[in-house]
Amino acid sequence: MTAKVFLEQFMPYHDRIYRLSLRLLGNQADAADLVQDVYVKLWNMRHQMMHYNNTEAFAMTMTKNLCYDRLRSSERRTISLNPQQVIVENISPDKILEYSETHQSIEEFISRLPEVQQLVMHLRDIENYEFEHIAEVTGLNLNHIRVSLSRARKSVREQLVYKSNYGNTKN
Amino acid sequence: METRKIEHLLEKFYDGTSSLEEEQQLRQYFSSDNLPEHLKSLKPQFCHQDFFITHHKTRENLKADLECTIRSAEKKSTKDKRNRLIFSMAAAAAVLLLMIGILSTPEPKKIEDTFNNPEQAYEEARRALLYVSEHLSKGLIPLQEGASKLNQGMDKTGEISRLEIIKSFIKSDSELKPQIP
Repeated sequence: MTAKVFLEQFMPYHDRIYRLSLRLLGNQADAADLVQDVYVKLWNMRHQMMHYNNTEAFAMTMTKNLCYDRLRSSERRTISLNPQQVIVENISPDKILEYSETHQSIEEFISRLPEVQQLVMHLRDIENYEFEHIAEVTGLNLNHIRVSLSRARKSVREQLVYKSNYGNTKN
Repeated sequence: METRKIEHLLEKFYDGTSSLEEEQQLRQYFSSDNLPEHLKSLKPQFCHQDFFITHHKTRENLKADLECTIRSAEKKSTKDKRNRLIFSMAAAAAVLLLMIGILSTPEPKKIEDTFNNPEQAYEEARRALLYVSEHLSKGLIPLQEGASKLNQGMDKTGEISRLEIIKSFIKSDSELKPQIP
């Protein structure tokens, strides 16, 4: 496989790989770094990859694993997991006014969910993956995925409802 | 869209049993600003995807960096491959040279027949041997002469044995001497 063919095949995933890394690692610098690592690793495995029919799931699985490795290898990084930072970095000032408060709180809240719930919810609600693809990436069975997804969504809802009630009583 | 249908979809959504299309319908519905009061608080959850994707784009040069990384990895691997090829070719050439060396060492020469006719060969051999014997006997004559001279010389050395007799005389004489006085 030449670099050209490889890039044609895998470059389209780079946004998704980046978003998943960002979700799991929590900051842009680490996420961008990790995307590089993922591509180098994919390139080194390019000969084995011909046997996989779903290269996207393969790339996402690798991303997930590398993220977890990185999180576990240094506890320091988990401290830098601050979703508020993540959001403010990339948004123009007028957008901040429009979105930031609620979405920051959603981000923050998601980042406090158990790892599996975060992962499943990200793949479904951000990347619109079918359950079968989520199963490929996470290695979980369909039932486990549904339960995790349901719990994660309900947790976010509770947070939102609580927040709006709290906001209302404050007003 | 009826609120009741939306509520049904929401139920499925929070159970984790909604399909991707149904989830898309919900997102569409919640993108509107005219929402019933009791559903308003859920709006951010369904706008979050849009928010996340629009606001978490990769940095602009990331794609270029990735391409650069992969291309340089490719260059390196072709270079390695070339080096390996050169090495194996050199090894093969060395073996080939060795083989040629072994195979091309001159074989011991075979003596070829120079005559087709055995009688003629016999004649020739006889002639050659005669020639050799002739010259050999001719060469032996001076050797014989030399040998006779050597013999003469050797005879003369025989006289040395007389010296021994004289020596023994002297010896016996000197042994006697002290007894005389």
